[in-house]
Amino acid sequence: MKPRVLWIEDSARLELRNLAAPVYSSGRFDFNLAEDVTSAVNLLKVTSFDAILVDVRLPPGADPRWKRLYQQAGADKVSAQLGIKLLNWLINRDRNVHPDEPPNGFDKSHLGIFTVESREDIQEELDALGITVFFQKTTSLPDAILIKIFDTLMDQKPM
Amino acid sequence: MPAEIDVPLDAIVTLLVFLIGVPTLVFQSMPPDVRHIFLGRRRLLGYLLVLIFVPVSSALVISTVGIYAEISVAHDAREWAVRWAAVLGVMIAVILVVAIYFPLRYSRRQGVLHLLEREALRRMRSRGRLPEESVEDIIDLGKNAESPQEKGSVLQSIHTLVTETCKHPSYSGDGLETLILRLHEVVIVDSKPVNLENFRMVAEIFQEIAIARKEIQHVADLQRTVKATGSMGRAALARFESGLEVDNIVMSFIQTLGLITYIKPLDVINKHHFYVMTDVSEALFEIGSLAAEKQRDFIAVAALDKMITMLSQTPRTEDLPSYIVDELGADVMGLMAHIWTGGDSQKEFILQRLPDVRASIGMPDAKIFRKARTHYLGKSQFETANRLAQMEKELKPKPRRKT
Repeated sequence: MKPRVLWIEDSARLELRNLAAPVYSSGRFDFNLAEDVTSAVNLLKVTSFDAILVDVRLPPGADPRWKRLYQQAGADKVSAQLGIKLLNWLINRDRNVHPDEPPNGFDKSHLGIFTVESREDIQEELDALGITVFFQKTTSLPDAILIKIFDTLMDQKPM
Repeated sequence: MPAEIDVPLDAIVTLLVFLIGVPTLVFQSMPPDVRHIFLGRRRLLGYLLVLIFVPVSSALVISTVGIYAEISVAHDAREWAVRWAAVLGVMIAVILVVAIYFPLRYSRRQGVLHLLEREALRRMRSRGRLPEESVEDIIDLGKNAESPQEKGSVLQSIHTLVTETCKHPSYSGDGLETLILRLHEVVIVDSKPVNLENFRMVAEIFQEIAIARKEIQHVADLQRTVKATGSMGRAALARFESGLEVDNIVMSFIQTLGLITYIKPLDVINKHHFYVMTDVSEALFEIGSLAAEKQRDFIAVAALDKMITMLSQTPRTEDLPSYIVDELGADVMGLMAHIWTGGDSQKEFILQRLPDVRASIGMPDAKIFRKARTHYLGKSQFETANRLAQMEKELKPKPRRKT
């Protein structure tokens, strides 16, 4: 059975071909892509994943609650940090973030962050969430970076 | 001799005429489709008439009070000025409220949309079903919307309606037919601009329907959703010949189809899940084959990858009808044939993925191809059948020439 993985990333529109195509072509993963928080939550509601990679700057999608959080932050992805809020809801089951019961289909140790922010910028949030797998998006990343990250995530020992 | 009665009738009549005129002007300046909705809905028209009647009545009452005071209360010139300044001031305030409120609320599509959404939600909560009339009107509003932002508002309303309907205890998995079948009209209109976000919202609406409550009894809406998602993916591919966002738009629909394959609770609904699986596979084939034809290789590869995953992960249980695996296998082989005939690099890619497919189907190549060709011949999809024949021929080892 192929490992089921999820990449939550809105700028996939620019990086789709470079980063996602090698994952599809490899045939190694049951690869899923969510371009906003609502789509990601929809996927998490119906299945479980062996690895989940999250961007920090995410758009809310159509769910009114996520939309409100986004608008409260000035409708700005950088300040809203919906990726962090999503993780906080999933891991810490913080109902202040979203009143719904968070889905369970993931192992905390198999969650990672892949973002343009540096580790120092969000170290506090990473510590609070207990996330250790962090990759920064920089220029000239290898095309197979996603495969490498998913392999790293799946190698993590379950908590 | 009684004091001379001096009522500023000119001012009062002018203000009253203006008060009646504002809603009339707003009504006339409404977009034709919005006006049509108002005229066709007695309830909305009645609401509009009340909103005209209330301010006009208020203005009449205020004027009457002023006139009564003028007749019955002794006054001097100063009191006269104060009284009529107060009366006319209140009337002007009412007019200002009406003049600002009416155009903002009713001359824009959003105002009517809000009314329709509220009405549809109210009726859905009491009957457990979305009123078809409201759904049709909302979709018409979206269809005629002039900008992607306006379409976005309509899609947001539809998303809310779908979410609330799917949460309702009376929702049985069947009842969103009109909405599912007509949703594409909001985004696929040749003369109106749309953006990526609009398509993504459509995909999210389909996802909401797909992940509806677990205890649903019917899969009718889910099946319609699968078909509509496939059609939307194909329509997006056909409409947008080029551009960075096309791949993302189509990927939203591929992802939605992928999500549907994960829905486990349907397994228990009289095995209808299997039927949905073949529908999903067919929809992915349709998107993937068109993408291969248009040389959108990334889309074709993504669709194929999803299909191979489905094929390999379908549990081979005793009660699984054999035609399910045959159909899934035929769809995978069909798409592979479309990619195969694209060129040498495509062939190389297919050769890499073929062992997984062979292992999943578990038959000799000749039988796999024969079944797949029979499948497509039976559906009059001769082009795919021909491509399969070509692929089979090219895959056969060439006989060595005797030296």
